[in-house]
Amino acid sequence: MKNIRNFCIIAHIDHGKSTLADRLLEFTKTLDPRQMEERFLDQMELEKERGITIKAKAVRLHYQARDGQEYILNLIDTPGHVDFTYEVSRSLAACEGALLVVDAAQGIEAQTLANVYLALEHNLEIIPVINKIDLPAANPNAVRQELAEVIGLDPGEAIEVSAKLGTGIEEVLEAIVQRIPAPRGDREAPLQALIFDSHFDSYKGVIAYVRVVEGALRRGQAIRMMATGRSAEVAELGIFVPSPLTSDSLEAGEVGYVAAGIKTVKDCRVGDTITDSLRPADKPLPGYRAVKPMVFCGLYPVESSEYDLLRDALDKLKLNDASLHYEPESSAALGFGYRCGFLGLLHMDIVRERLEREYKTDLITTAPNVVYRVTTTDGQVTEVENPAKLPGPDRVQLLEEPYVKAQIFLPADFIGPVMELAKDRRGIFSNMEYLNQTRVALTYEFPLAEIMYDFFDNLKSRTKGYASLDYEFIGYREGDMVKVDILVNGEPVDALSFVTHRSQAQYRGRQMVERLRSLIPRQMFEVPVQAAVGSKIVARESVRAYRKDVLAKCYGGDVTRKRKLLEKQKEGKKRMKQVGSVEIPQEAFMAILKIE
Amino acid sequence: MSQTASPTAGGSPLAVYVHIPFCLRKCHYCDFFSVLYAPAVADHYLAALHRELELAAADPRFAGHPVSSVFVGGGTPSVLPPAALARLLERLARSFSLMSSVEITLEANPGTVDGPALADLRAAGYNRLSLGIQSFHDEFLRVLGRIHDRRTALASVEAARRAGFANLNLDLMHGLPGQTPDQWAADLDQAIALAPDHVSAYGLAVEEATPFARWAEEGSLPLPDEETARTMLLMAMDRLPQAGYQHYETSNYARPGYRCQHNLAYWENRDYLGLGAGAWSHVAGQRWGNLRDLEEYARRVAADQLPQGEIHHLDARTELVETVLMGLRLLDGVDQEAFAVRFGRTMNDCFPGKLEALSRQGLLESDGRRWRLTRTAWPVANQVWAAFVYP
Repeated sequence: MKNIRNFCIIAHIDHGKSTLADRLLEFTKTLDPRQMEERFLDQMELEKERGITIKAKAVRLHYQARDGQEYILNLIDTPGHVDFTYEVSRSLAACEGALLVVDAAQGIEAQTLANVYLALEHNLEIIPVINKIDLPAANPNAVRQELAEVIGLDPGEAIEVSAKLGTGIEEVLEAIVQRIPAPRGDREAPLQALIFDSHFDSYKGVIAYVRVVEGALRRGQAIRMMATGRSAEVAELGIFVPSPLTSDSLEAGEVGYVAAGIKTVKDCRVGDTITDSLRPADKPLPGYRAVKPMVFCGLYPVESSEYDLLRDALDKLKLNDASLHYEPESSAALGFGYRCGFLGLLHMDIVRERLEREYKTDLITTAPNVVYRVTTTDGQVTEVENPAKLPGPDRVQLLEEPYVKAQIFLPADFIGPVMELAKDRRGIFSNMEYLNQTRVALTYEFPLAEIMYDFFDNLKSRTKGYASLDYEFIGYREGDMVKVDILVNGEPVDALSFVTHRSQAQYRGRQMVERLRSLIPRQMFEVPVQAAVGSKIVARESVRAYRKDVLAKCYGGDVTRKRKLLEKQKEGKKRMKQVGSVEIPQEAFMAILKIE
Repeated sequence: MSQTASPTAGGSPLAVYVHIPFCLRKCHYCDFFSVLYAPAVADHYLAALHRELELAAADPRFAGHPVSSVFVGGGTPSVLPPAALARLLERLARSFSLMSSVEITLEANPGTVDGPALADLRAAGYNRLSLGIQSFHDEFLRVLGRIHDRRTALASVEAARRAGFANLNLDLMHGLPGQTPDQWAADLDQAIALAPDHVSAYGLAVEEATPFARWAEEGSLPLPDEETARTMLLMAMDRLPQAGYQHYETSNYARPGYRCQHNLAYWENRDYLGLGAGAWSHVAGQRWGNLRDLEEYARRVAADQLPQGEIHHLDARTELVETVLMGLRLLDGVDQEAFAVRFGRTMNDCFPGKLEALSRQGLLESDGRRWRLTRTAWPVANQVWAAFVYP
């Protein structure tokens, strides 16, 4: 066990995490350079395009250190977005140390900081790595200084690397061996293995990525997930080198995978503790959270005939994504579809894109919203996941919205603008703490709806990118909320309804109809677009009718070109939904997001 | 004219277009293919053109088909000496069988033709003259980049009549930069007063890669707003029929018996043969454009090959879509029976639900025989046409 090191890499997008990982694999001959697939750790096409990693992976590296001994290094990959904070925290909990990769030209980016603080919270040894020193604009000394000032790391500890050219890689490996502590644990103790990730494999069922903290996992062992209570028998276990390599056991301190014939990731949750059914541990490892979707939206097939296709696609995605929730719903405007729950907007985007790309479904997505808790006048309490389903104002006795506790880390210079932003978003100040002379942690309570859409972007722009955000759900609170209905051509379009604070209803209603006016294509007749709170119209615009649109000339030489012009005109209407006599484009349903 | 043929000889009648790609100056809105006129280049080109028409006449797809119309367009065909245009017609008549009723149109621009030239052309056999008047206002003629002015325009009409052209078309444009409905009304009245047999009234379209496109991009082209453009279109649709010109195609009006037979071949999606650089031909299943580069065009025909450039293969679906698109440009619309005979399926089978939906919206109507656009639909005809293209 003393020769094991478990570590992860924390880096901002594009700062070279994947390239560095590739070099570590190469240097330790874990991968033959000839079989190196660029960015080995990012497997999904979508992840590659967005430059982010959604699912953690673990790879075992064998390293012959300068002290003559051979070490086992387990590299645990982590996602890097606020939507996936919980997943990140579980990956970090499986490590004793982390490489903090910083671009030598760009310095520390805010997003990285949230994970650094998370790592410090888990008492991880941080090894700063200054990457891309080959760039002409590289300024490693400035980065060292920044590391000291912003995070309080010893500037002398940073290692200068060019992952691209392969320089400094051995120094990194030596630092991992020398600075990161070996795992501790008792292989004879009752089993406690942390599931830090899982994915569904169509042959083996759920593959759980685990860090054995105490005891040992063995093939054939009867196991139990301590949070879900699910029992199973270990069918296969092993490590990734990086392809799977089976073994007979995984002992305290080791990282690997377990397959136990579990049919869905729902039964094998990230953060759960695996123990031995016959000799269980007396308590699970700390930190498990039942992940609850916070953001909901409607997903509807553009072609109603694709409803079954959409259901099958969601079923398949769900096998691999415990945090994805969905149930059938119907909309007067959009027909049959699903109301889906997500961890956050990025998660929503990823799911939507995968549905469209991998399952070839053309979707209408409605604007995301939070869950409201409604107490009706008859005393019934319901959680409403769709604004259109909110009962009328006369039937609502109490309307509550979800609140989160948010931690914002930022340079002290930006406290003013950030507090102003927080106030605009109905934030309730609860604490301010100076981490060091220049670094501040602000704690606020926010209605989730206020920070769900563009808050993070706004926060970054007000702090030149140097703020980080993390939040967790703290409960429901009463809010003076109203539902704003949108009427197109006099007909309410349920899928366009949204809920907002009463003080903003008129403003947002007006913004919304203005946006819709520019989004809804002109029709043969004038189309009024109205926003209403209850029966009161709060804003009105109209989409002008077509008045003149005719190709004046068409002779022999023009036919193909003119036909193509008309095809283009028609093509523009493809992703539109016919609602009554009006065609509404996909973007219209997301219009509310574009309102400041 | 030396030879004529009976209407029934040698298969279906053919419309022949001849492109003369020369102009004295390029108009600011025009995207038709043309180059600056130079006599030597033109001579060389005409020699190649004569060779091409012999090649085409020998092609089994065209050989023996009686020619029902000839349209010599451009460019500005009238920049050529009348003798050259006469020779061209002679060559055509020698290689093809022109029907006795053949309509032979020459496009001419005021400022390039005078009385004697027009008399020569009439004598050579041209029996329809299409004059590119565009506007009777000097300010708009300047904006358009035309070489003529109002006076020249009026003179050319008079000269055409004196030369004996009994079938005369005037091209007019509306929706011009800075044009008011009153000014357009004056142009219409002026045209009517000149009593032509046919009027083409085109709404200006800003075409890509023209000076107009560039100016529009820069914001220096004060185009009328949509409502004003609509008003001008409706003025043409009102005034010309009142003066005895039937509205028979989107932008075309004619006295009874004077519809342009040649252009009807395009709108009825019939076969046509295009001769000359950049000219387009259509024979069932195929449409092709000739090479545009004059040198390359000449080399190809010198090698005894048809100078085909772009070739579009038209599948049955495309043919029938185009038949509807072109047919719905005509006020008479599309003959349902003729359509069914031609394509083996009814229009309703080809476009299930479309006809009914558009009728319900008041954009399409039928007398049981023909489907056509309603009066409401004309100003926004693209909305109807677009319904018939794929996907």
